[in-house]
Amino acid sequence: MSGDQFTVSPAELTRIGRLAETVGQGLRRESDALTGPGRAAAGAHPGWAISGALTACADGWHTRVTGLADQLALYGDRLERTGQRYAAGDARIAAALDAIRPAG
Amino acid sequence: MSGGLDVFAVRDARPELFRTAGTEWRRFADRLRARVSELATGVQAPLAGGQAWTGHAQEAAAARLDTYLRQLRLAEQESRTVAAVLAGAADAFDLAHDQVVSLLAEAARAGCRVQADGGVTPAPLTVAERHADDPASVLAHRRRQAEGYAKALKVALGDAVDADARAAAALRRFAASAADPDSFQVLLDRLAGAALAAELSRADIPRVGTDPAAVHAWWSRLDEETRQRLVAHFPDLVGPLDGVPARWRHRANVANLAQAEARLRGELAGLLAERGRLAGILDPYDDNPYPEGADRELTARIVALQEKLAGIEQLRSRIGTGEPDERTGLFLLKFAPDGNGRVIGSFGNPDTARHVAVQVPGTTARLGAIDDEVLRAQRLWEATRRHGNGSVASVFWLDYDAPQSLYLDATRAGFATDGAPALNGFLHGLRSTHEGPSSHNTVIGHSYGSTLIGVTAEQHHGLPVDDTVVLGSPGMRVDRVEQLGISRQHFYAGLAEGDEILNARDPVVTMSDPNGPGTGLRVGRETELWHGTNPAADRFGGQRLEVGPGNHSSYWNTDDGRLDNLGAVVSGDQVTLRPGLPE
Repeated sequence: MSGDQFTVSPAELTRIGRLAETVGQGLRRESDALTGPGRAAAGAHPGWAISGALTACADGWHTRVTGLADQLALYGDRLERTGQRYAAGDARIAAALDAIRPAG
Repeated sequence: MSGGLDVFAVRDARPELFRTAGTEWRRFADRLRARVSELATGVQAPLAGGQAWTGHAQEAAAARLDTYLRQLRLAEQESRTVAAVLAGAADAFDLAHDQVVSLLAEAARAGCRVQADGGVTPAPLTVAERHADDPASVLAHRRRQAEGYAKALKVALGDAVDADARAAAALRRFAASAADPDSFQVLLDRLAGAALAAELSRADIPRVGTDPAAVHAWWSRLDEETRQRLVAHFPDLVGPLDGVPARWRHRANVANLAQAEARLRGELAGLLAERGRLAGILDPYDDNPYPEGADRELTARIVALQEKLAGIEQLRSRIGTGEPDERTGLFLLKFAPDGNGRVIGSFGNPDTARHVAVQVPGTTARLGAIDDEVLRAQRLWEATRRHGNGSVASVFWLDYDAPQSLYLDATRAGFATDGAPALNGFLHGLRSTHEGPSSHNTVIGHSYGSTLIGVTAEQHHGLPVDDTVVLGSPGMRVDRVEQLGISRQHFYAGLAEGDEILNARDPVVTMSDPNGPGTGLRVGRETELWHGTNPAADRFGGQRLEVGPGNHSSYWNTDDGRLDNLGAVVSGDQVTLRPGLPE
């Protein structure tokens, strides 16, 4: 779509926004699995080079994935709210137009 | 601080924790893939399709989502590679851990003291030993024993240190890519990390010659995905490895066969082109840049290659496509075209069969004539099955350089000495990979193959089999069956009346006659052949198997039922014997 035209299905936009937000939140929870077992393995092997490297790798990717998950959840939230605003704006405009009454 | 590892740290290691961590990374990758799929179908498709939205804001939203999806896919890929690194490291640590634990136990049993750095102090002499006849030789023996443990511990420790360093290097690269996955440099590092992960697996596959029980323990710990990856990427290492189950070896060796065929066909095409060029040049009036006889040498190489390729075609047609049938299929347990070719095959799966026969061929056995070995194994398999004592696997084992010339090669023991470790490893491997109750295993040596069996048994103080059979043997490098570590009740020698092997009288004894050369050209006795006492002779102390009349190659004839008696040995049935050769 180009120019100044646009189309929107507020209900559909709200739905996909909510889905993206849910996926982001789920991903955040799931990323915790990266660190637990790695820490257990590293803790049982002090003095092994792999221990420090695994902890750094798990921490690095945990940070990376949780950051991504948060952005995705925020993105979903924005889409959802955008859909809701389109719907609310449409209702508000309709109400405002309805409020116009002939003088007298 | 990988260099700080010592043998006790390796002993106390718990590799399963790294395997668990690897499994979690793989599961996380699976979840990421599911999330990506959810987003792609539930968000990206309606957003891009215009059902939900169109316009500038929609375009911005779609572009943002694309970025997220790319990053999630990258994270999934990275997580899978980290999982593979951790699984490979766990396998390597397991192997080193098991070796160290086993060596420490052995050293302790021998009374040795082991230091953290792997140094080993021999057990001191007891008071009684100090006053015995030769305390110095006892001490020397203990020192050598301690040195042996120290050397083996150093190798195991070195393997653990190397695996630790490689895994740590790979994981550090993945940590860097997490910090900035979009940068070009990190992408390069990531690729290097993936290559390193593959190399890690290659380096951590046990070498050929490793104790088959240790190999099998290592293989048993691998998950299905890792096994498939190893077979797919490193068939040359997995295919010949004793201790790996037959089904997996077969898959690897089918790949080895295909690769070798492609390579040899390429070589043959090159040689044929070269000969064509040579034919044009070999004009006596032209300058000939080739030395005299070059065409003959080239032709000999072409013939040898064509012969090998014919052997490969025969094997390929026998194997067919797909997985071999458990009871009747031909399993390829080794394939390498080097030298005269190394091939091991089995009719029936030796890991599940109740009775397993391993036939070791003799002089002139080679890839180019492999159909002879295949046919003999098949005939024995059929003859054994007829006894109805349960499932049978019949193996032809050609994993040594067999002599190719009767008088130049077959009189020498070197071919047997060189082949003995491989035969011993294979027979042990069959024991370690067998499923369920132990199978009844028989090794059968024909001609020089029996000499190889003799050398193997003598070197290793027996064989990990239940019964041993020799057919047309020129001797086993010993005087009596006891020297092989095999009991009389489990040793059978078949000698056909008319077998030309009786002409293999010892030329060395004859030529080294104290009366001087020339006078020694006498014919020796039938009981004393090139490689020692005839195993079919009375004084060898074994049992003579009834194999009927015939010649050196008639033991597998199917028209007279003689193979049934050999099948009886293999199936543990009633065997017909006959008197041994008298003096």
